[in-house]
Amino acid sequence: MRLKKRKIIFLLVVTVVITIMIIGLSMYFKPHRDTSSMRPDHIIADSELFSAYTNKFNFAQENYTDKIIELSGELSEIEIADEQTTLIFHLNDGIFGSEGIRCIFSISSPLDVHIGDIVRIRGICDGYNETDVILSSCTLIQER
Amino acid sequence: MKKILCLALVLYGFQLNAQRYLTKSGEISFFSDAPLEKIEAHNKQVNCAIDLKTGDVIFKVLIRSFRFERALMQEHFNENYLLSDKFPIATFKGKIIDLDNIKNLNESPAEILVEGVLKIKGIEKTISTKSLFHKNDKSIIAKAEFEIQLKDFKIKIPGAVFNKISENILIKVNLNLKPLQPKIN
Repeated sequence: MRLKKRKIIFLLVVTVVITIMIIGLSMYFKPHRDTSSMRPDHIIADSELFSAYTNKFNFAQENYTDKIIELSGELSEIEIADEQTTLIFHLNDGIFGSEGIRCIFSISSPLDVHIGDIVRIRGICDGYNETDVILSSCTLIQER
Repeated sequence: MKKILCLALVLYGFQLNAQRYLTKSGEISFFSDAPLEKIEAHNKQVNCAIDLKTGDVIFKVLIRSFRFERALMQEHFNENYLLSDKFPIATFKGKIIDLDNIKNLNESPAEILVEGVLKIKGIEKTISTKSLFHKNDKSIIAKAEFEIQLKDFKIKIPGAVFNKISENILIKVNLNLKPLQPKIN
């Protein structure tokens, strides 16, 4: 009887330890957010998002930063550098040239979009760096 | 007369802008080499502007744009160490000390001293670093490396990860600065 009780306790301890290890490892190795399969927290126009950060910074920081944003607007510029493509929406002129929203795609192959296209992009909002709002890990949702 | 004045102003604008160089896709990386773990992160959305006439240098770095290999490290970096919701931007405001060297850049890398104030988490620290600058077509390419200490910016390492995060962090900067294009309406 006592042996059986010891066995049960041993099995319980082993189960708890294994469960903790699995949870710890899954947290340690959890993947980055995949914007292509996640629901957006906000669906918003480019000018509205930019205006929120430039005119109501605290509100925008609290509501949009680190959230998944689905953005729509007219594409102004495409930058292709090593290992990343940036789609840019110009929305203001500042001391250092055009300011707006920069959407970062972690691919260097050209996206099938052109300047002037109305595009829809989903990405994680990194915030506002005092010239531009940055969206990272972006996915192109739709082209028209 | 008005046309001549307008032309003169446009040309003056060209002259001023030709001395300002800018990038919005500069790269800053940092490396922590601790006994139990090597950690690195990269930010390829760094704003930097330099003015060749005055020697002014300014960086604006969005903390949340640093990318780590592991999502959990990125979360801890933002939420526990850099408090990026409260302090979303790090800045560097400084001066190029060797102004003559920067004005006469060519395709051979020149070692140029840059000094200024680095502000992280609202805490300022004076930094001085020798950087390599050279010209490539119309661009200026700049590279710099320097070390910072976490304690200087009141970034505390919890005991549980003491052997996984180094107290000294190596920072690498890579920039491809383009001349600021004048805007003509």
